[in-house]
Amino acid sequence: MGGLIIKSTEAINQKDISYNMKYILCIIYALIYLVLGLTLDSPKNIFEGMLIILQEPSVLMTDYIEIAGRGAPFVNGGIVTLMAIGLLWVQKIDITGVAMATLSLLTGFSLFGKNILNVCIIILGVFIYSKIQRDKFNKYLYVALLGTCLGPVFSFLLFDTPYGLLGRILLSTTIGLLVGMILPSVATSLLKVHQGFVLYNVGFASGLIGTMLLAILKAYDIEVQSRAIWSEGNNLIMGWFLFFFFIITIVLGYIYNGRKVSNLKNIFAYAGKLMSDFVALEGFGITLINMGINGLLGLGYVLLIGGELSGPVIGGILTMYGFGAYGKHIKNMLPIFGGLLLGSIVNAWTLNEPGVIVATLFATGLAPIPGKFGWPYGIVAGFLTAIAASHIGMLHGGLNLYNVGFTTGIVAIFLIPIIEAFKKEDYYEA
Amino acid sequence: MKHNNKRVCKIIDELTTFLLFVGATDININVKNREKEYLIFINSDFERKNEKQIQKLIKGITSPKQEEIEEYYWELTGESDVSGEFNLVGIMIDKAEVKVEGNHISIELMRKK
Repeated sequence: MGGLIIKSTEAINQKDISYNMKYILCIIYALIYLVLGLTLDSPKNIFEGMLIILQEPSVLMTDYIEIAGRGAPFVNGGIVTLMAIGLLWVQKIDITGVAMATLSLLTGFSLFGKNILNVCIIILGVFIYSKIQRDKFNKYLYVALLGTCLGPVFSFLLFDTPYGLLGRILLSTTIGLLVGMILPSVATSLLKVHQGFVLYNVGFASGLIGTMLLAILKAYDIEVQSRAIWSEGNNLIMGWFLFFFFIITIVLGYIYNGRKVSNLKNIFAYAGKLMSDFVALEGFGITLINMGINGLLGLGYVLLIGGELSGPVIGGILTMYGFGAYGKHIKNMLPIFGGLLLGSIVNAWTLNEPGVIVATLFATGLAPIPGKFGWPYGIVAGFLTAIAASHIGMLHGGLNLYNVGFTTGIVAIFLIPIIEAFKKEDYYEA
Repeated sequence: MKHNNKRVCKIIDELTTFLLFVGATDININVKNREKEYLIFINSDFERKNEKQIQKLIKGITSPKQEEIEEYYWELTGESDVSGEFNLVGIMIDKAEVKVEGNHISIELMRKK
């Protein structure tokens, strides 16, 4: 390393794909889900299904596939994802790992809670916040897109409260915009609390906001009825679709990565803590390969334990897939799965219960803990997340779609100080 | 943009923490607060056995600036003393230059206001 001089303008960033090509691939990704939806049902059923989705309170757990048929939720997901891509494009944002994780999250959650109506109000709220700050909206766009997990706040107040139409419109719009306006500051400040060990930081922030909001609503005798609506019988169609989708992702990544996989070990070397943007750090091609592997792991796990590929479960698999660009890889996720396995061994739960499957898939948001501190801590983190998830949901009544994200935040702020207290003084890794 | 001074302090915090962990015994930090930008100069020694860590630092702080990510994540900079957030430093600065000679590293960073 003697005499080495590196400038940022000369930095060795793997330019394996152009700015525009990344956008084209993202659009194709969204269109795949849109077209899938269009092929799964008749136009009439899709239209009626979309109307049902738009008028749903959408609090957890509302599986859109169960209430609106198979086609409409995927059409909804495709449109929501295209809207997000459009916003990224207008704001001239380069597609990196965080963008890919965000888009996958939007597609997945559009199967159970996010829709083209309720995401807009949160985004608009964040936009107003950026104007109040006299700042560019592009600086807050990721928080806006991720913060759409609070979409049910708007939907619930608009469609499930005992007031006249005008009152409901005023209430839902006002609260929806306010939620969007307070989210950026809450989300940013919470990063310090868990030091970046929680990949779903906005979920953590949204959980706190949802909890406060539920308390306020209860004070005015407005009850939020959480639900448990799950679909069944999608395994054959969705299993094959997702399998081929993940394989295509891997093949595409292989091509963009110069037809090699040897640098996959570079990704496995990262703990996965925020911000581990694999696209920026290791390149686009190898990141796609990692994403595909993550997707196959999630899908394989669900099918292996005899689980159902319901909307929320597909959402969980797509989240694992997306975060393959932003912190998650097979090495730091497996200990989390181990924690869930441990829970089933000691009879805390049955692995293939819908709620447990969802908790398992989303608990991988704590993958940085085993990534940094080792697998035993990952097992503990996974176990605690699954135990806490069902109870923590009661705090926000399902108004925050990222319930497990909120849970992982709480588990992390409990666990990290304990782990660090027992680590030796000079434990540090770049 | 809010908290501009604090952001610069956090960048310095992150890099100082790292340098101490790679065996620095003599760190010199100079900050120039100009009308349109901040300039940060850091000169330090390090233990040769930590060259791999130095490579990680270089990879991170020379990554391109990303305003859209900075606004959300900047508070994370300098928060952890178990791991580095060099990629985050990279997205917060407009220009970086790193020179490594033997066991000595000099870092020059420029951040526009």
